[in-house]
Amino acid sequence: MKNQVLLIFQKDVRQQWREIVLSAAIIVAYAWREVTRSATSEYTVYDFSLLSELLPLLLVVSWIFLILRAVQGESLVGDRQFWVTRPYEWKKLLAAKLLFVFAFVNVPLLFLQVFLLLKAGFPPTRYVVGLLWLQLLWVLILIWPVAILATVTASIGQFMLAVLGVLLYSMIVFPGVFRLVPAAEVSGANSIPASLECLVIAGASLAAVLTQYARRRTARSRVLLLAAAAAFPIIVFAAPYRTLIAYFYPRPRAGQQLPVQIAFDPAKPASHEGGYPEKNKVHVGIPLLVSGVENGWKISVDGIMERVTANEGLEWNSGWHRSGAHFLPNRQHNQVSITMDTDFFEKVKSSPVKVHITFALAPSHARETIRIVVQPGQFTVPGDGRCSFSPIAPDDIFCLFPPTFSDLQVSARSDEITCTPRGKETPLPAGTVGYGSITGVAVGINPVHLETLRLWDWGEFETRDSLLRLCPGTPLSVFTNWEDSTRTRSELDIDGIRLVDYQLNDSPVGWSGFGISVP
Amino acid sequence: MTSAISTHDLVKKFRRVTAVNNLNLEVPEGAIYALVGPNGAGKTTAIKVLMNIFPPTSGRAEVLGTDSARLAGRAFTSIGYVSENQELPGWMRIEQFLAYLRPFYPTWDRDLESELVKQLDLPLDRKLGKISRGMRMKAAMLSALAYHPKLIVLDEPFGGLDPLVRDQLIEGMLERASEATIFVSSHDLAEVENLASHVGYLEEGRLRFSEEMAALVERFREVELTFETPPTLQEKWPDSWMQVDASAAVVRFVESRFDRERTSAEIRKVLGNVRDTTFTPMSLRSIFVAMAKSGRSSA
Repeated sequence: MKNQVLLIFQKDVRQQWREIVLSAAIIVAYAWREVTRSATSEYTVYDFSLLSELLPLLLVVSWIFLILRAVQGESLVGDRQFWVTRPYEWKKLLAAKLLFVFAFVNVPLLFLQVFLLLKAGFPPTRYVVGLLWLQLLWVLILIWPVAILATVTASIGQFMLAVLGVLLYSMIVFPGVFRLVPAAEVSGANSIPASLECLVIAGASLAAVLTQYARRRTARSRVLLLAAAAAFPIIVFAAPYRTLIAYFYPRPRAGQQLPVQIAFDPAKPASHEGGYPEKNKVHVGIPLLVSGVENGWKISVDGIMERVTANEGLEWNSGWHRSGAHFLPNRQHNQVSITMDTDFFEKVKSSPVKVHITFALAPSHARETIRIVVQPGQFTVPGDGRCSFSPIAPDDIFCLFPPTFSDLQVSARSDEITCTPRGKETPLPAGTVGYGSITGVAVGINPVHLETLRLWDWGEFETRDSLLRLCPGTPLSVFTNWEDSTRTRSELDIDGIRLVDYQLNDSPVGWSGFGISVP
Repeated sequence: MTSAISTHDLVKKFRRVTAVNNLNLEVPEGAIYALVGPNGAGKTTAIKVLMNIFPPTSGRAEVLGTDSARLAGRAFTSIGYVSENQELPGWMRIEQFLAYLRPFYPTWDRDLESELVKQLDLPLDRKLGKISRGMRMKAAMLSALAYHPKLIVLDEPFGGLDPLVRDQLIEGMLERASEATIFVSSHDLAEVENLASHVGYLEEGRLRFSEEMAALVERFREVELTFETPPTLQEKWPDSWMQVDASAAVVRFVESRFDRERTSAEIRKVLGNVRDTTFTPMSLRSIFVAMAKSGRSSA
C-alpha cells in the first residue's frame, strides 16, 4: 500500500494547486515590494498604493485559506464525508495535513524570510534561532488557531462564524476581565495564572484536534474548546493576585538597599494636562522625585496601588493595577497618575488627605553598555542593527534589525549632542538625558524589522516636543543584554496634600498611556 | 453460520430522540440482507452506527468481527459502503477518484474496475461534482466494489434513480453477491424483494422482525373466507390475524403465521364452517403495508 501521507498530500496539492500558485504569487509580490521599497530609499518610502499595502494581509489570508481548505478537504465534521468509510488512518491523515501546511505555509515563509535577510545584507545562517522563533510565533498566532477552528467547522462559512466568535470573545471578555480584575495585568504576578491559562488552552486545543482526527467527536471537541475559553476568566477571577503580588514583589528586607528611591515632590506640576477622559473618573497627578537608579539599570513599574485616606474617615483604594512605567537613571522628576472615582474625589478634593502608593518594581540591568557615535552615513548598533538618517525625514534615524533577541535601551546626554540649535529651538538643559528603546524580534512576515531610533527627554510623554534631535557625531550609550534582578516593592506615604491641587485636565489626544510621567 | 453484522441492544439517541432503539440484528455471512422500513425509521442511523460514523449511545455492534466503535483504517479495506447522501470530492474526475482510492486497497482489482466501468457505463473524464446523481451513485458503487469487499453496505442506494441505472446497480451488486455479504437499506420494498435473501423491518427505531425472505413470504397470506350465513364475529381475533375485515358473509384478514392445516383449523375454531377459503400469497410490499397498518409485530 502506497504511503497514505503522500497520497493524501498529493491529492490536496492537486485540489489546491490554484490556491498554492496564488499564495506563491502573493509571496513573490510581497518580496518584490519589500526589496523595491528598501531599494527606492535607504530604508523606507511607504508605498500607499492599496494593493501594495494589502499584500501582507492578502498573504495571511491566502495562508488561512490554504490551511482551512487542506483541513476541511477531509472534513472532520459531519456524517456524509466519503473518506470516513475508507481505509484512512487518522495519524497519517493528520500527518498529511501537517505536511501540507509545512510545505505551503512554513517553508515558503522561511524561504521568503531568508531571501529578505539576504537582500538586506544579513547572512541568514547567523539568525537561524531568530528565524525559527518567527516560525514558532506564526504557528502560535496563525497556523494553530486556524487549524483548530478548521477541525471543528465543516465549511468556510462556519469557520468565519467561529473566527467572528473568537474576535468577539477577545474584544469583550479580555478587556472586561482586566477591567474587573486589574491586578491580572501586573505582569510578574500574572505569570502563574497566565502559564496555567496557556497550559489549559494548549491542552484543550491539542485534545480537541486529536479527538477530531482520532474519533471525529465534534461536539466533544467544541465543548473542550469552549471550556478552554471559559477557563480564562475563571482562572483570572480565581487567582489570588494579592498573594501572588506579595510573593513576587516582596517587601524589602531590613537593611536592603532598594534599586530606586521614590519621594513626593512638593513642587506642584507645571502642566495640569494628561488625564485620559473616562466617565465618572478623575485623574490626579502626583509629582515624584526619583533617585538612586544606577547607570545601566531600568526599573520597570509592573504594578501600582494607590490608597487615599481623608480626615473624615473616607478611604479609596485603587487596588493593584498595571503601570507600564519605568524609572531610569538621571530622571529625577516623575509623576504617578491616579485615576479615581469622581464621587470620592468631589467629597475630599479640598481637604488634606493621606496618599499611600505601593510600587511593584522589576529592576533589570544591562550586562553590556556600548558607546557608539551617530554617523552621517550608515552606522551599526548592537543587535546587528544598521542605522542611518532617513533621506525624507532628516531628523529621524531608521534602523534595520535582523531577528535577534536584543532589547536595546539607548540614551544620549544633552551636553554631548552635536546638533546646532535651530531658530526658536531652546537649548536643552545641561544634564538632560534622552532615552529611547528598541525591541528585539518583532512578529512579522519580514524578518528584517524597521525601527525608528527616537530619544525623548520626557520619559513616558512621547510627544514631538520632547523628542531629542540627534546629529552626526553625537555619542550614544546603548544598553543591551538585560538581566532581571530581584523584584521588590516600594511604599510612599504623602501626608496633607489637597487632591484638587494635582487634578489633571483631560487631554483627549496625544496621550500615551497612564502611569508615571515627567512633568 | 457466523454473522457478518450483529448488534446487541444497540441504541442511538440524538438528545431526546431515539433513532435506534434496542436493535438486535444478525446478518449471516453471504446473505443479501435488506433492512426496510418507512422513512425516518432509523435505517440510515443504524447503518451509520455500524460504520462508526456515529458512536452508539449504548449497546454494541460487531461488523466482520470488529466492534463497530473501533471500525477504522484498515478495517475498511474489507467493507464497501455506499450511501445516497455521501459527499464525494466533486472536484475530482471519476478516473482521478478511482486512481486516488486504488492505493488504499491492497485487493483493488484493476480488471474488475475496468469491467465495472464498462458495465455501469461511467464517463471517467467527468468530474464527480458535474455528473447526475445516478452517475455519482454508480461511481460510488464502483469504488466500493472494485476491491472485492467482504461486506457491502448500501444505504438507500436506489432512491430516485431511473430504472435503467437502478438495474445496472443491482446487476453490478448481484454479480458480487457470491463473494460478499450485502446489507442494503431501503424504503422501497419492490426494489429489494427480488434480490434480498433476508429481510429486517425497522419501524420507529425498533426491529419488528428479521428473517429469511422465503420464510417471511411463506408465512404471510391474504385469507378470504366466504360463509353461508354471516358468522358470529369475535371481540378478540387470534394474534396472527391482521386487518380483519368482515362484511356480511365474507371475512378477510392477513395471516402472519400461515400454515395451511393450522390456519384452517384455527379458522374453523374461531368462525365455524366456511363455504370457501382462499389463501393468496402476498408481495413484500403488501406484507409491510399490512404490518404498518396493523401496527403490531407478527411473530
